[in-house]
Amino acid sequence: MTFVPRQALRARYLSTFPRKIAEIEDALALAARRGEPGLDALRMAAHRLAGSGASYGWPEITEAARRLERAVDAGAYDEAATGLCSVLRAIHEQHAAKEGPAS
Amino acid sequence: MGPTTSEDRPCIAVVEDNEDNRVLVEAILGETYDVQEYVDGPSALDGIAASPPALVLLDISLPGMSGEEVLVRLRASPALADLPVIALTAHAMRDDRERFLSLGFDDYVSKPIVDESALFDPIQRLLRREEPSP
Repeated sequence: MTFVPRQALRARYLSTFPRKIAEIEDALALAARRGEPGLDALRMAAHRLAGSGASYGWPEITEAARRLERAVDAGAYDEAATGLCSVLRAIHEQHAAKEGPAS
Repeated sequence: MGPTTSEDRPCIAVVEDNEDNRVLVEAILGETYDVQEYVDGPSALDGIAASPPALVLLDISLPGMSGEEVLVRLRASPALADLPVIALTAHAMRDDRERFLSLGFDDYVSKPIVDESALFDPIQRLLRREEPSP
């Protein structure tokens, strides 16, 4: 019994993408300046997206977030972080207008 | 079966810091169960003690007090020790299920949740007090 999220649920999730992208970018900048606190924030952001993206119908978010989780642990995470942001931006641009505001 | 509401719907406590997943679980379960939501371990322990649900869905990666620690505290409480608790985790390791069962969880659901039955089946089985399926 596959879960098909309702349009309003997807719209609410989509509306959070700009904040999620900002969190990843802020964590990336913090990791460059201070190391571990930024890495913790990156891990948390990636972990949350890994656990939610596919539930809302976007498995590519879960895949990109899992790549970032592994990359943070491996110590080379810039590309994976920008990759995850790109995935979020692309989905947001593609769907935001179509899905409409959350209700 | 645990406490019910006046409409005779079992109550499920969801302990999850990620709002996206709380919203999703409420959407999946809300038509069948009353859903109590908690964002962290301390508030969950207080709320569950004050108003015990029929079952708890407990995220493992909670900030501060982890899901494992919440479970230990629930099991240490005589009034709550037998409460069915399902681990909710996005770690997706191959031996997760065995590990969480050995820690004292009654079952395990992996995130992302893409199949309603993956959530409903263990809940319904535990509310009927059946043993975990292999």
